[in-house]
Amino acid sequence: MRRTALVTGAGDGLGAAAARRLAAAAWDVVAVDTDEAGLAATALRSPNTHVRVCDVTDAKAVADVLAMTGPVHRVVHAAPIVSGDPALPALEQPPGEADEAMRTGFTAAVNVVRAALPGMLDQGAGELILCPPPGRAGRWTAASGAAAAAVLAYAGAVADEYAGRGVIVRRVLLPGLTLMTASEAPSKDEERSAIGRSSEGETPSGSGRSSEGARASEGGVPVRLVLDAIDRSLARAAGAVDVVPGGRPVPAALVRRIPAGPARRVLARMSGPR
Amino acid sequence: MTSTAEAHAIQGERVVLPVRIRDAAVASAMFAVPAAAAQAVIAYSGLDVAEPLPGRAICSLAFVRYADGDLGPYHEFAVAFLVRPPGTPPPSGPLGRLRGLSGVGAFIHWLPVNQEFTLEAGRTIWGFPKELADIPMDLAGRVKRCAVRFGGRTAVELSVRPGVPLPGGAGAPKVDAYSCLDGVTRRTPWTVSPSEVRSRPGGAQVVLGDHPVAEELRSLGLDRARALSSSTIGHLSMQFEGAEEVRG
Repeated sequence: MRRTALVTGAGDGLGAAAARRLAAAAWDVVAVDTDEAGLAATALRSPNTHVRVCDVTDAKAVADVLAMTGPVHRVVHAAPIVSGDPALPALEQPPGEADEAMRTGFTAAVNVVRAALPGMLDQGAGELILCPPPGRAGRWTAASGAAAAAVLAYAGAVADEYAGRGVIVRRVLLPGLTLMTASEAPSKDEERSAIGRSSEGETPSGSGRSSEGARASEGGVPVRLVLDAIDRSLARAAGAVDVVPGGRPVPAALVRRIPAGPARRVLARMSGPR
Repeated sequence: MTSTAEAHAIQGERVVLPVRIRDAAVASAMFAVPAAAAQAVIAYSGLDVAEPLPGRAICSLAFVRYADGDLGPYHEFAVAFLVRPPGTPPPSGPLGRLRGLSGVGAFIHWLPVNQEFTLEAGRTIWGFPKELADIPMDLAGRVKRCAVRFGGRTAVELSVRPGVPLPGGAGAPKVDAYSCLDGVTRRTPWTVSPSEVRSRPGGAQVVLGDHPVAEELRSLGLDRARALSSSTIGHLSMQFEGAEEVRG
């Protein structure tokens, strides 16, 4: 029996690599992105990859895709979080940058979960993987990092709330996403923080990257290693919700605490009663 | 007939040579098998197995995930034998055998894949013995595993345990891949650039089912043999030139 996967952000980088890997493993892949040319490249010579141009910040558009595909067995949400220039600190970012990051990060993830999770619950099976990468130059800004943290917290809460109903939830702490305390502020290590926007991995360790799109995984963890970490985690159904590619234990420990306690209540208030 | 401008029409797509694979991952194992039995298996090709040790040939099993390449994404399983380049005499003496190893090619005896596009491309462009199968694999865990199944029946399973990291080699080794489809034997120049290579002695386990190729592998003793070595390649890029016919 063929399984269906929905992959967002499939036009480039992590999402494209995830879509191709699933296609190689003979899944029916529904590849979603706003970048039509990128989608075409992902689906090239892959008869079991089906492309859909869709803006995942639009709840109805995502619901329409799911209405067409029917229940999917796996979701890899890898649509990038769009925000400002990663070279700039928070106060120098353009106005509205944080809103954009929350919309393309948090809102998009909520849209995808709300569209895909009901089908998984009906089937009593599914794998929901949330791993939106930073949009520009493969590096986080304060706002895109915060939006990613919101996605992680939401994923943690969803995992708790729907535990025991057959759906495996994974949230991926992408390289460089530290929920920073002052002592964790990036210094020399910052160059390691890029997550590639392409599946090529072999580049010399990063130096002097401009703000133009990060090819490959300049100085960062290659996307294939991120996908390996996700695969390993899914192989243990009862495993931890958190996936930490390349193993960065300290930030992982910090994130793990988010969904419990106050952050969860804040989220509950934000999303309000239905 | 090898030409860099060569192109083929496959399922409405134009595939230009050389075909490039930008990202693949591999696990493989090499076995020393009785040369006479191996020669019998590949006799249809007109090629001769290489004998690095007297009376022993080398059979290699491998599985590959093609994640990014000109033939689309797919899984593949390979059964190959090291062969002497056609027209070369068998080497003699230990030194000759060692020297003879430098020129050996890989004869691809069986190459199941799990996608239609690469099936047609492989058979049409290079005469690779591809056929369609279900090929589940796990390349993310410590132990890499793969199975080849036809309609739910397992033909072969291979698992490869982790080895120790090998230093990255500079340059891209050129190998000749040989194949024989419909009575035509072909040679395909093949360049491989591996990285993240791990290797070890032994470390492989083979389970054989009831497929004809599984029977052949059983006749070589592969289900009982200890592997000479097994290896994994985390990232592999490759290039395949056009094939040319080999006349015996």
